[in-house]
Amino acid sequence: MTITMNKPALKQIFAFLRKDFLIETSYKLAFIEGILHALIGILTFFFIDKLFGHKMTPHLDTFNTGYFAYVFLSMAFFNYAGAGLGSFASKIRNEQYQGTFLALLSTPIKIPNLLLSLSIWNFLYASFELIVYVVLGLFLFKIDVSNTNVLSFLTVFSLSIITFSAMGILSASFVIMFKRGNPVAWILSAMEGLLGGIFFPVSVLPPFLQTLSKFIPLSYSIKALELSVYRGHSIMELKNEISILAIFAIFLLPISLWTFKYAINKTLKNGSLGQY
Amino acid sequence: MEKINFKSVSKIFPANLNLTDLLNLNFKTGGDTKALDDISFDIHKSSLIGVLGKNGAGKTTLLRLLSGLLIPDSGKISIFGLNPLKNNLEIKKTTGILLNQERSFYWRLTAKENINFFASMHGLDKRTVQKRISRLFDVLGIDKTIYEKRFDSLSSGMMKKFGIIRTLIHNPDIILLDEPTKNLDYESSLNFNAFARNYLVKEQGKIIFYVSHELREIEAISDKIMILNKGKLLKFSDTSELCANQKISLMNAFVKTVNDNHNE
Repeated sequence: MTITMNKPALKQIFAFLRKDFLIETSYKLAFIEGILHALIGILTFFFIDKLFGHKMTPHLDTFNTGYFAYVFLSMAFFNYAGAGLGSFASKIRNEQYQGTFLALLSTPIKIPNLLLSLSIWNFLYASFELIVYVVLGLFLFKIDVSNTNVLSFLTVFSLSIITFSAMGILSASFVIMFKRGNPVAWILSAMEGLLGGIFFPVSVLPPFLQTLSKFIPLSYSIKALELSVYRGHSIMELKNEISILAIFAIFLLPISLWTFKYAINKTLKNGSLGQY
Repeated sequence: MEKINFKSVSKIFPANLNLTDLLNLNFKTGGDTKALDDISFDIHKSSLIGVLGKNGAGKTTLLRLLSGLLIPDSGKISIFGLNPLKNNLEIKKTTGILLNQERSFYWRLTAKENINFFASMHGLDKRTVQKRISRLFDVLGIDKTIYEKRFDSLSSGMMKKFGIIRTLIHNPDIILLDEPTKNLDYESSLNFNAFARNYLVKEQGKIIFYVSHELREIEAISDKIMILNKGKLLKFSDTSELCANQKISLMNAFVKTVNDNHNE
């Protein structure tokens, strides 16, 4: 199953982009609400860090930075990766609720193109939010990113987005088959805060939880990103994390696409395509 | 091979599914719902088939099988030589289905934005869309100012009209209409039925499956009639033959066919 970018496919993607833009901008306050939500989240961690006197703990020594800078980067990244993780399932759920999903599937849109089209607005919006994070981080909070190794950062970032998108597509497959009750989303939301290393380095956890975190791609992404930005680690120095993320990406993407196609065919068979 | 062929087609829905949108299907076998039971027919181009049946007879299931939105459990379907499982996308290019749901549009967009969006899914450019809708606007009596209005501000009749436009916008060879004139005003209904019969079927050679509970309407426009009951195809014959042989109106022919089957 490959994505062929011919003219009709591009037309479909642009039509989705336009449609989502028009719908989102018809909710006047949603845009401001999104920005405020991100800002309040960041400020909360800024003041938590201030409460503890901006101290560097031994757990953060590895990353050569303070708590606020650590959590700022992981939050900015996870906000973007979240578009990959959540957008496929949430968009399909929205289309199911609206009653438009069946209408979409009565058109000749290929499944990979449908997935891309459904998520493209969320990725663009998340990119905009990422720019807001970067501007705030550099100019308001004066976070020092002078050590950044751009090549290793981009490598880790790209592999992570592919991995999380694949997990998001898996999650969407469950939504198509079972509508509500999506075990992938549940596992991801339960694990991301505790084991992913977003709010604190995984080294803080007891050994058995640290072992569990090794099964979560997010923990490799966060660690590698923090090291590439604050320590300037090269691709060679991050080869373990990058290799594991590459393995996740290579295996999860085809599996997720196959599962999604299976889910669609299953609902074509059992007649539950139009249900919500 | 420009014909539709159904050979012993059956469709069973598992018992654990809540099939609310497939209309209270009521013929159950061992907990499962047998929506269509061993259906066979051939249909050639330039045909308007009136599909009759009580609620839950299997009419919507038949349309969804024809549109590639459902896959049969047994039997063979060939639509212009295409297999619904192997050539699902091609079938969706060939067919247009009128979904009987007002909520199948984006309510926060205008009617125009909705039509343009769905036309883009078929790869149509704005010029082609514009050309096609102007004729349909005349047929359905749509004022151009309505086109710019948000979808949630439209009446249910107007929503149905835009549903018809969406069904026809990509010029499909097979048109699947589930109660197309329900909620439409009398004049629009007459105009649309005349357009369907005289232009789409006679001039353009389309095949139309027309589901309706308005028997007089079906009698007036269809070449052939299908009567479904509890998933079975009870009758499939020429409209004139069905009524003339029994020297009665379609209403009486329909009731007689269903009752005869019930008494067997």
